[in-house]
Amino acid sequence: MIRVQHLTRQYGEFRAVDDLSFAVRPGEVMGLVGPNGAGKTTTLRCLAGIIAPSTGEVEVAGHDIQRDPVAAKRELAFISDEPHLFEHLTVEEHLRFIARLYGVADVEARIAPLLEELELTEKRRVLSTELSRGMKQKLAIACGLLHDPRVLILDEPLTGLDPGGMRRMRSTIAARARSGVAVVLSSHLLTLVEELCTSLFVIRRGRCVATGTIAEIVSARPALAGLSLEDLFLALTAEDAPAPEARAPDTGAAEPA
Amino acid sequence: MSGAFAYLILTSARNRIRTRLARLRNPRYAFAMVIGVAYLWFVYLRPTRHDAARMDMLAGPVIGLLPLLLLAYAAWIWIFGSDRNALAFSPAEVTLLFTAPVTRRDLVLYKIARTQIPIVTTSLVWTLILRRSPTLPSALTHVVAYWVLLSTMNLNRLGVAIIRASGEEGGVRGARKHWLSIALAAAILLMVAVPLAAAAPAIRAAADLSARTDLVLAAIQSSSAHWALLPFRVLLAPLAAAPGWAFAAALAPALALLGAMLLWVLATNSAFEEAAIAASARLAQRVELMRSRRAGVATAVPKRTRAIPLAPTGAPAVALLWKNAMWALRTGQLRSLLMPPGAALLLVAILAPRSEIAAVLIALGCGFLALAMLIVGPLTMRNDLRSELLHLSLLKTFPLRGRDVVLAEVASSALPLALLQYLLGLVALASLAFAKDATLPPGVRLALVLGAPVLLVGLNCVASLIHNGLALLFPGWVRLGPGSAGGGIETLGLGMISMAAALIVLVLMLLVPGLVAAIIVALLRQQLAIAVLLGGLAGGALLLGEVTLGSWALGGSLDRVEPMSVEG
Repeated sequence: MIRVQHLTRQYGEFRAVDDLSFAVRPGEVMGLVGPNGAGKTTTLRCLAGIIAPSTGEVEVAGHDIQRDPVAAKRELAFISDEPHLFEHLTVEEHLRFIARLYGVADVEARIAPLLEELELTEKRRVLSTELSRGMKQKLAIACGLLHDPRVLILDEPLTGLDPGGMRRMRSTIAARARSGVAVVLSSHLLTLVEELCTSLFVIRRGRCVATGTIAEIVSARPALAGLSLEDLFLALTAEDAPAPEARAPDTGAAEPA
Repeated sequence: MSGAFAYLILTSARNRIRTRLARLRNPRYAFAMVIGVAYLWFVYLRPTRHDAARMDMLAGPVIGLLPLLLLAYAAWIWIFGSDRNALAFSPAEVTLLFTAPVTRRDLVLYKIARTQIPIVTTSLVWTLILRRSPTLPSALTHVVAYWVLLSTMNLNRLGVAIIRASGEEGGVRGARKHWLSIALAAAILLMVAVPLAAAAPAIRAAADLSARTDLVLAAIQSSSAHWALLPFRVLLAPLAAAPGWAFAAALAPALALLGAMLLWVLATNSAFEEAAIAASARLAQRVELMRSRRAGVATAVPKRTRAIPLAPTGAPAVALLWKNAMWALRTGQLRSLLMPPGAALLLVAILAPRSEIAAVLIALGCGFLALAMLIVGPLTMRNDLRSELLHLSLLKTFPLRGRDVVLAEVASSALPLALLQYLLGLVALASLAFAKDATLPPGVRLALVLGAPVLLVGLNCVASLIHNGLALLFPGWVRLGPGSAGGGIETLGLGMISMAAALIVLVLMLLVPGLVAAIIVALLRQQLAIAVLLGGLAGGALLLGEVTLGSWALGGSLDRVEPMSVEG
């Protein structure tokens, strides 16, 4: 569903993302993790077609994001940590706007359950400027989910949500994955990553330092056996961590990591 | 604590100046600075033969009325208190200073100190622009005089805002705490208002403006008004004083008044934090709105009003057009656009049947306004790419081709302007119907009614395309939001350069359609109605063709442009 080959993104002399390759299949939730400045957001923005790779290819649902961006974008949703909303539209009008963009003919049937799922029903006629931070994030999530994307790209999607909202969002992501959506999830909440992700892709300074399920990652580095995910993450992303391993371009596990 | 505040103010000012200076290393800003300085010199600062007249501007009856005008301004603030920004702090100040171990008085002092930089800047600008200072010493005295005047009026504004906030937070008890200030302000106002009211019948009956002015001056010379206006006269006295001892003698009481006002504001010491936070939030919201949607024009906070329906299927780019139309509807911009033709229509109904000259003048006014909107309209109607580029990351996630986005955005600002111009044209035609000598043949009128929509849509789309294209291709040269380019002379220069470029491209793009339309009209001039119709339609179609080609070209640029290069 998502295929990334030799993705590199350069800003002048600085290489933010350096030769990344991975694939995320339907039903898989890949956790993209790394310390601040590792290149996670740049990678996600390349996947979403917001910025172009310097070299390499990104394929979304069989469409090259550079050569056929409209078809690729029709299949994906990008939900970032900062909700970008239009201040003069109400909650419901945001969904109608998105419906027209993505050609969702049965928008009427979808709006009510989606608002219910994200606890926005009572706010459906409220302008986005009148929403709290958490509600705005929920609306951004609703906009992302309205057209039933086949690929979900999530950059810290739980930012601003209350505990109840976080729980519902976790179950929403899991449900979408079960229904065959390919998910790329970037988050510093390692418990979320551990709970939802079927595989990990760990990057540091733009390069992949580990990929696969936790079991696969640990089996490649016996010294890390028995560590918690947090310790594992710190060990993998430490400045003196071992050199990046040879990476498999494809990950196949569909069970939680 | 004053040390920390002084550090904050001075360091912020120093860094702001450094940033500006560093920006001038960029040839673009350096060039813009040269253009901006040249504009200021030739328009405002260059000595002209009119300077002598300007220097005398404050002489005569005007100087006599100034204290009254100052009182009116001060009274307005006391009575209506509409200027709530006086209490506004930045979000960072609210977060860091309101929670810091500082007294309320320290906060007020900080607020006063922080306004000194804009006040001094304004004093310098007024001195330069009003050009009443032929020598350096007189220029310096004027800067000081303006500073005293503006600082005192600013303290009045701040003090009133605190008293009103105290009333809001503490109710009657909060307001009662300031009874002396309120009573004094009311007494000053009454001492002037009563003699003026007494003289009102005579003023109304006076033959001309000069006679009325003399009567007003006489009324405010009465004993009570004279004493009530004394503080305002004291404030204005340094402006009229010659450099030297005369100035020092005038400045001393003005400074004493400034000091008294400062002590008064500091003594208010009322709870104002809640009102200040509310004012700060309103200010932040306005700034955010301006940054995100409108450049340069403050807009009201959007309200839920009527909505425009949107079908879920069809051309996806129409969603952008719909979104921008909703914005125009909810911010009142559509209503504002309909006001000029509405007002003109009212004038036609009232004046045109009575006077043919008025009918012609109204038609000419409508025509002039419609023409001016072709140039000025795209500068004010900016709910297109110039606003959207600030959200390029979001725009890029939409499944739309660049050319479709460009077309939708161009139409977003062009269509409302075309509607305005069309309505003005209709009103002009209606007005001309009352002028027997100037009325157009029915056929020509019909041709204009039918042909104008295509032509106007074409013209406005071209104008909008140019401004959107400049923003997309040269985002650093075009103001995408008030915060993106910063203030200063170089920003003024940037605006002038982009405006000049837009005008040049507009002329170039109008050449071929204009020529074709002119040829058609010339060839078919025997049948003027058909000539006008076909000329308008052909010109409009060619313009729309140019817009389509331009959108294709700009669409490619939009597909390639990256958020970092425009979002900052």
